[in-house]
Amino acid sequence: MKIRVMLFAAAKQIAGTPSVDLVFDTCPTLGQVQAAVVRWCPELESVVARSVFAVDSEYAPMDQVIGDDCEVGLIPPVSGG
Amino acid sequence: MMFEIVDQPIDIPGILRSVAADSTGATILFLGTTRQYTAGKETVQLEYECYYAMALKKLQALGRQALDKWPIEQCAIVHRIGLVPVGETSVAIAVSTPHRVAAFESAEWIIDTLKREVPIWKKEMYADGQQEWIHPTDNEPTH
Repeated sequence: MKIRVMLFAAAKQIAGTPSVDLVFDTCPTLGQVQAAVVRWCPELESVVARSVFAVDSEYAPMDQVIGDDCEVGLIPPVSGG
Repeated sequence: MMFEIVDQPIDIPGILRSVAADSTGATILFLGTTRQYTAGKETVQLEYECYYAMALKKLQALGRQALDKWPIEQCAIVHRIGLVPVGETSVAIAVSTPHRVAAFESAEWIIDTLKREVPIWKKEMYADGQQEWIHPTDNEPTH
């Protein structure tokens, strides 16, 4: 199955793309998605370490299991306002 | 109630009109603006980006939560994205209430919580040509 992870701000800049499609054999947890993001782009390691994930526009815990219809976003520390 | 993310200058008189009501005795308008100097470095403009669907949902949730906590008559939260030059407004929050204490408290709570929870990011574009996405750590001041 394929999971698309949206990237923002420094993560998008470092990766050079607004999203990445990652392939898994079974439905992954967000922790597994996190590890796969870093394997795909090791330069993201430090920003990923400081980021959290959102699933379908809500902050989600790392043990949450992701289905292929989920919208997944990598959320670096926010700085709006 | 008005919750918007816009890519043009924020219509501040329009925001004040949107929170006007005969039942209110106090209106607070908070404006966040691009500051020229931060820790001695000169900023020319900020560039904001957001995770639009989630950010809009979070702005609406902030409004609902504020309504649960305070006797708010009307509330507006508008954030601008894209380039925001020095002196221009990136975020506007207006709250109207029957009495002033709730207006002051709720407006402060909304901006503090927005800065912690809403997926919007700013990039500093400095006068010396450097650019930097801002990702605060817990021990950095956010006031």
